[in-house]
Formats: sequence, C-alpha cells, structure tokens
Amino acid sequence: MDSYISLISPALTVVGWSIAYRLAKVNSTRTESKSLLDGCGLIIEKLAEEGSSFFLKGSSSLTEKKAYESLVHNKIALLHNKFEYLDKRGIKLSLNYISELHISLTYSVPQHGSAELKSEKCVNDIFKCSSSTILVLQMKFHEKYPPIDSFLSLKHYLK
Amino acid sequence: MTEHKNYINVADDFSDDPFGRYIDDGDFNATIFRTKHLIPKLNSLEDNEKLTVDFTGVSTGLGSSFVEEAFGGLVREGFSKEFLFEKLVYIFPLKFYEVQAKKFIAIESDRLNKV
Repeated sequence: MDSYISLISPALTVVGWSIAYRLAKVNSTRTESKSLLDGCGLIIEKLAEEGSSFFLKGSSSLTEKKAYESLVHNKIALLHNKFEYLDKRGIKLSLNYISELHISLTYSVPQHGSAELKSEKCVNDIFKCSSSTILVLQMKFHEKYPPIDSFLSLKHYLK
Repeated sequence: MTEHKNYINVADDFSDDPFGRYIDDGDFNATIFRTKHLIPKLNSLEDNEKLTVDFTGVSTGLGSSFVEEAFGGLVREGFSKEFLFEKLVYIFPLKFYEVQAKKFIAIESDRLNKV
C-alpha cells in the first residue's frame, strides 16, 4: 500500500507537466494564428481602402484599371496564402469568402467611369464584404480558441 | 502558339494579360476568349472528353468580370450548367478562381431557368 502512495506524487508531477506542456503548445499556436489573422485583417482593410478610392475616383484609363486589378490580385494572393496557413492551424475558411471579396473589388472595374455604374454601390459592397470576411475570421478564431473563463473551460484545450 | 485539342493554355494561346468583358475593354477581353477559344473547343469535344483551361501563366491575375463573362457567358450562349460542370477542368494559380467560375455558371443558369 505504501509503495502505491509513494507513486502518487511523481504521477501528479507527470500529469501536471503534461498539462503545462499542452497549454504552452496551444498558447504558442494561438499566438501564431492570431498574428496571421491580424495580418489577414490588415490586408482586407487595405484592399477595402484601395477599392473604395478606385471606385470613388471619377474615371480611369485602361492602364489604370489593369493596374488596379493586378494590385488586387497580388494582395488577394497574399491573403490566399495566409488563409492556407490558417487552415493548417485548424482555422478553416471557405474559399468562397475570398471569391466574394474579389468579386466586390473587381466585378465592375471595366465599367468604371461609365454613367451607368453606381460607384457608391460598389464601395458599399466592398465594405460589406470586407467587414463580413473579417468578422468570420474572428468568429472562427474564437471557435478554435475560446476565451478561458474558468478552470473548467481548460477542458477545451486539453482534449 | 501551341494548339492542343482539349487544352487551352490561356497565357500562350490567348494572352498573359486578359482583361475586361467586351471589345471596348481591349483586345484580350472575355467575349473574344469565350467565342474564339472556349466555344470552338467545347463544341469539338467527344462524349468522354474534357476541356482543360489553364490560367497558370496569367501572372497579372483575372478580374471577376472576365471570369463571369468567359464562363457565365457560356450559359448565355446555350451551354447547360451540367455540361459545363462535367466538361470543364480548371487550372488556376489560385484555387478561389475555380469556386468563382463555377458560381458564375450556376448563377447564370439559375437566372435563365427562372426567366
């Protein structure tokens, strides 16, 4: 009986260390994911700014339109890469969000400067789409890493 | 220019800088791409064949207006959604373009079915 009791202390130490190790690992992945997510947010905000400036500008030449589309493509490609990294860290977002953002930014580019294009509507669509994408990103992050309110909520991280 | 029966290399066969929907948008617009490249190739497909459309050489990216006019436009030209979903194989530098092309085909098909 004494020999069993003497094992309790080292066993508790092992369990304690494994919990501490697991939480540290979760915390470092969480920090990495948060940094990626913040990066995504910045790219999306920047895209929304660029998009609204483009559409609020009265008119543009073919070269300017192509340059804008190319700029959007490059930033979207960067966002796409970051989404892939987030996916590997368990924060999964449908490609549909990128597609919708891209549509809001580029669908009306060829018509830019024409009388029938309502620039305000384009700008509104861009902000609506960018805000909802940022919101979904944050929601997915909170689903993956819910806040630790009590000792019991640690259960989520120790699964 | 390389000519393959069931393969379109957009950068080589058309342009590495496609832009816009209509003739006013330049020489390499989606209407020309659809009518001169996509439709003839789709029409010449045998029953068991598929058409691969490869955009990997298009480094400047694509506007969604181009994607809509090229692929959604096929539905307006009389191709069914089912046929296009079965026959078209896409190679895009970024995966979301495929989602977008399929979405435009589906939207256009739904719109025409409602009319």
